[in-house]
Amino acid sequence: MTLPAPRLALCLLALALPGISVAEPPEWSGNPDATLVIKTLPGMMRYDLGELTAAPGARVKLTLENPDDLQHNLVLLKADPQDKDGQKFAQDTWLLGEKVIATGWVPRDHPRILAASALLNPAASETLYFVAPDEPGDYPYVCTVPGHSLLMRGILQVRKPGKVLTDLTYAIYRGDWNKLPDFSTLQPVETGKLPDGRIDIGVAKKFPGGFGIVFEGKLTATEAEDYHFFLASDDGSRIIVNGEGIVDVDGIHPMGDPKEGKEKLTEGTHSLRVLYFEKSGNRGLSVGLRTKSLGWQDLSVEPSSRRATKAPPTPILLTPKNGEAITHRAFLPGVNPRGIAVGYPGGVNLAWDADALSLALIWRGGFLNVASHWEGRGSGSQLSGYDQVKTGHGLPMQQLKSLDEPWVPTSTATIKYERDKDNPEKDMTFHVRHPDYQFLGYRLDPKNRFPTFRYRYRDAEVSERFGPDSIDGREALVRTITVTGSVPADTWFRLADTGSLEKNEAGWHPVDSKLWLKVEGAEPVVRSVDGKKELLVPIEAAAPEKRLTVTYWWQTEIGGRVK
Amino acid sequence: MKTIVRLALLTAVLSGSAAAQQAPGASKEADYYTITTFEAPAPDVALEGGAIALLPDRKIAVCTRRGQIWVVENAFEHPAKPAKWTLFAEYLHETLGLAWRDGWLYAVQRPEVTRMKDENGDGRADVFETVSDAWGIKGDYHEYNFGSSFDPQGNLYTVHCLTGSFTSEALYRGWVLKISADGKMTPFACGVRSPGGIGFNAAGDLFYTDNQGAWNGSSSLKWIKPGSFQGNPNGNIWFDYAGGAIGDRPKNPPLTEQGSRTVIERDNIATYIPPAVVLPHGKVGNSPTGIVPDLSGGKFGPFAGQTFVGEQTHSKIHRVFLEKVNGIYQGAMFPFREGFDSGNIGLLLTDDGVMFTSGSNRGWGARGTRNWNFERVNWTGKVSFEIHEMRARPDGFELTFTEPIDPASATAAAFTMDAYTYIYQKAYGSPEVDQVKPKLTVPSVAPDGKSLRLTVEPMTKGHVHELRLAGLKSAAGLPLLHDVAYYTLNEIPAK
Repeated sequence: MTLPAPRLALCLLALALPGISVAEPPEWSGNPDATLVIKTLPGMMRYDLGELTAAPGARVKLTLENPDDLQHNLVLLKADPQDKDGQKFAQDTWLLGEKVIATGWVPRDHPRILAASALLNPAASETLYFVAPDEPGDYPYVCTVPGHSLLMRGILQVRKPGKVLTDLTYAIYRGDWNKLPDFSTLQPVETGKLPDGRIDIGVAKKFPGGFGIVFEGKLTATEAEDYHFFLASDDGSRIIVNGEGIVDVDGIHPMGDPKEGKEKLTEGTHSLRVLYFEKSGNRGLSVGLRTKSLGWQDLSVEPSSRRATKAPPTPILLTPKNGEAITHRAFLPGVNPRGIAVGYPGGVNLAWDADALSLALIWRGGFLNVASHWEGRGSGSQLSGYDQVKTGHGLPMQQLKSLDEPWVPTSTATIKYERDKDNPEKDMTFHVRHPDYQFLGYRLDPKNRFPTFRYRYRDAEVSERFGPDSIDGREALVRTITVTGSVPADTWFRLADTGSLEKNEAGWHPVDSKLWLKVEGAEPVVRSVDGKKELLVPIEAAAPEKRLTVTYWWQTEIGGRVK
Repeated sequence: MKTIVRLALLTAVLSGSAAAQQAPGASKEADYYTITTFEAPAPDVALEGGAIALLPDRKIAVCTRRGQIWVVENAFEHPAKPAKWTLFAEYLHETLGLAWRDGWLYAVQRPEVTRMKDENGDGRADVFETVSDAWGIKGDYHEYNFGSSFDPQGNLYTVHCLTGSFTSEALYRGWVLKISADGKMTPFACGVRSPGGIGFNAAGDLFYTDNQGAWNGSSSLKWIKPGSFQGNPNGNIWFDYAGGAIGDRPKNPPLTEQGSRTVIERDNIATYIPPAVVLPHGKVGNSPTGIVPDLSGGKFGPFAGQTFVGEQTHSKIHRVFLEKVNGIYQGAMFPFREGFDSGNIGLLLTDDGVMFTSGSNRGWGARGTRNWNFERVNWTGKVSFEIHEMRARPDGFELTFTEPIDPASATAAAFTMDAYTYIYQKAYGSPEVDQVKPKLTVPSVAPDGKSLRLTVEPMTKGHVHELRLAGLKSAAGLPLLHDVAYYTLNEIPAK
C-alpha cells in the first residue's frame, strides 16, 4: 500500500487539464478575416451572442470569455438537418459520460466538430482559430457541459458578404424634443458622409444633448426576400424603408431589447432612412437586419441589437390585486440586502429595509419587475413605477446627549478580505447587526394583508404600519410608528435628512422637490449638523402611547420614472 | 468484446434514436421504484422546489425558489385522489429550507429563518416571525442558505454559501449555524463552499452536500462534525465573531498553485473533516442537493437506515451507505433512480416509506427538460438485485446484496476497480489524480449467497474506490440493476 508521489502526478496532470489548450495558432492568426468575441453571461446560463456571422471560407479568430462562475465551453458544429441547434449533439455528448470528461466534455475526434474550446474555468478565456465552411448555412455552437445546452447555444451564420448599405449620409439637427420631430421642416446644422454600413451617432458627439440625426442610404437586395430590421436606441428612433416606417422606438427611454420590424423587398435598390434623436443623458443607436440569404448584418457601429439572448429578461410585473397588498422579499436596488417591497392597492409602494430597520424607499405607480429575481440565478427585483424618494436614512433611533451629537446611521465593521492568501491586505467593510436592534418580522392584516413590521430597540418593541392615502387627488402614504415599552430619555427618531425640512405654512416639511411629510403625535425638531438638515422627533414625548403618525405626500403629477 | 459494446453505444448515440435521449436506466428502475409526476396547481406557477416537509394530517409542504410555500393534500394518493394545493405563503426570498414544529412552519430564506402561522384559518400565513437573521448577506445571488429539519433537541441547522464562487464577504458565509426553535444561534462548523442541501443520516448525524469548485475537487456528501472545518478556508475570517463556539481558527491548507491532498491535510489541520462520500464529479452528477435518511424500517424497500441524496444537474437520486471507521464517516454511493423531470433539490422520505422530490433547472441547467418538478417515488414492493452495503475491511471490502448471488459468477473476473483521488486546491475543481489499479480477489462468498469478501491490493487511504461488477449474477441469473459503487476510503479499519 503505497501512495503515489503527489508531485510527479501533478506534473503529468497539468498537460491533461481540460483548461489548457494545446493547439498552435495558425500562421494567419495575426491577420484573420473576422475577429469575434463571445462571452458567457454571469448567472444567466447563456452566451451573450446568440448569432455570429462570417463569410464563407473566412479565417476566423473567435475568443470565448467566461466571466460566469461555472465551467463552460463552446463547440462549433457542422450543420445537421436533424440537429439544427446542436442540442442533440450536446445531449449525446453527455451520454458519453466519463469518456469525455478528460477532454472537457468534447468528443475531440467527432466528425461534426469544426472548432471546440477547452473547458474554461471561471474567469478564463480562450481564442480559437478556424476557417469558416465554404458552404453558406447555419452552423450551431453549444456549450456541451451537461445541462447547459438548453439555453447556452447559438448559430454561426455563414453568408456571402454583400454591400448592403451604401451611399450613406447624415444630417444633424438641434432641438429639445421628447419625441422625433418632423425633420423635413427643420434645417440641419451639419451634414456629411459615412462609410458603407456604418450608421454612427458619434458624428454628433460634440453636442451634449438636444440633437437629432437623419441617416440616409441605399439598401441593395440581392434577391427578393423578407428583411427583418432590428432597432434599439436611447432616446427615440425609427427605420423608414422606401418612405414607409418599419420599426419605431420613439420617445425618451434607455436602450432596450431591440424591436423588430419586417418588410418584403424586391431584388434591387431601396431607400433606407433612420431617424434618431437624443434629449439628454446616455445615448445609443443600434441598427441591424437579418435575411435568409444575408444572415445577420450590422448596419451601425454599435452592434448590440444582434444580442439575441435576452438580457435583461422579459419583465414579470407584480401588481397588487383584490384589494390586498403584496409583501415581497428580494434584493432591491437602493436597499440593504434584507429588502422587503410592499405594493399597496392604488399604486403606492414602499421598500422596508430589514437590515437598517427603516423605511428605505417609497414610489408610486407600478410596483415591481421581478424578472431578474425569478429568472436566472436570482439577482434581485427592480422597481417599476415612478417618483421614487429615498426615505431611509439608516438606523431610525438614537439617544442623543445633545442636539449637536451626530447621528450614526449604520453599523459596520472592518475585516481583512481573504481569497486564498496567507497575508491578506485588503480591508473589507461589512454590515453587522447593531446590538440595540433586532428585526422581529411582520404580521399581515387579515383583511387587506397590509404588513405591520416589528423590531426591537433596546427594551422597547417598535411596530410600523403603512397605508396608502390620497390628498387633493395626489398619492400619499401614512406611516404609524408605535413604541411599546420604555426607551431611554433623549431618544430621538430620525425621519429625514434630505430637503429643506423647515415647516412650511401648510405645516408640512419638504423632504424632496416632489415630496412633503407631516408628523403628528410629537413636535419634530429640524436641526443642522455639518450643514445638513435633519428632522428628528422625540420618542418619549410622543403621545398618546408613544405613537407617531407620519404622512408622506407627493407634490407633483406622476411622471418621473424610477431609475 | 468491450470495444464492440462501446462502438455500438456510440452508433446508437450518433444515430440519435429516441432511446438515446432517454435516461438509459430509467425504464428498468421503474420496475422497482415508480415516479409520479404532479402538474402545477395553476399554469403560471413555477413549482421550483427548494425543500419539502411533512405536516400533520399527512399534508406535504413544499417551498420554492420563487418564494412560495404550497401545502399539498392527497400527495400520497395522487392521482387516484387528486392533489389539492393551497398557497400558504408567497413572495419569500428563495426558500431552501422547511421544517414544522409546534404549530409553526419554519422556512429558511436568504435573509433569515422565518416561522409562519395561519391565525385566522383562511389557509394563508399571516404571522411571519424572524427566528434568526444572525448571518450576513451582501446581495450576491450565490448567497443561498439551505436549512435542515429539526433535531430531537429542537434545533435546525443552516448552511450558507460563500458570497461568490471564491470568497466570503459577509458574516458566516461559508459556515454552518445551529439555530434553536426560539432563535438562539450558535456557530456549528466552517469551511463550506457552495452547498446544495443539509440533512441527517439515520443515526441523527448532520451532513451537507457541497459542489465541485475551489477546494472541492469533486462534489461530495460531507459530515458536519460539530466544530469541524469542511475544507474551504475563505470563510474562516469570521472566527473572531464566533466567540469560541467552535474553537480557534484552523490553519490554512496550502495556498500554493500545486495544492495538496485531503489525506495529507487531515494530518495538518486538526479539525478538517474530509468528504464522507465523494460523488465523482461528471460521472455520477454535477450538483448534489437534498439529504434524507431512510427511517421507514423497510417500507421503502431494502435500504432501511441508508441515506438518499438528490442530484440536480443529472436529475437523479443517489443512494449512500455510510459507516464510521476510526471515528469518521465514509462509505459508498450507488446509483438509485434517474429520469426525473427537472433538477432535484428538495427531498423528503416519510417514515411510511414514500419519497418526494422537487426542484428546478433555473440558472444551473438540468438533464430533466422541464423547468421544475414535484414528483413522488414509491417502492413497487419488488426487490431489485443491488449491492446492499459496502463495508471497508483491512484488506478489502465486504459486500452484501439484496438478493442471493450466483457463487459461480463471483470470480475475480466479475469485478474491476479503479482508485483515484482529487487535488485539494484553491483552483476550481480537479481532475482525477494519483490513479491506482488494485488487484482483486474473491476469497469467500457467504453460504446464503447474500454477501462476499473482496480482497483489494492495495487499499489506498483517501482514494475513491470505484468498483464495477459487470459480471456478477444473482442466483436467479439477473445482472445487478446498478453494477457500480464509489467507496471513499478515508480510513482503513484495523480489523
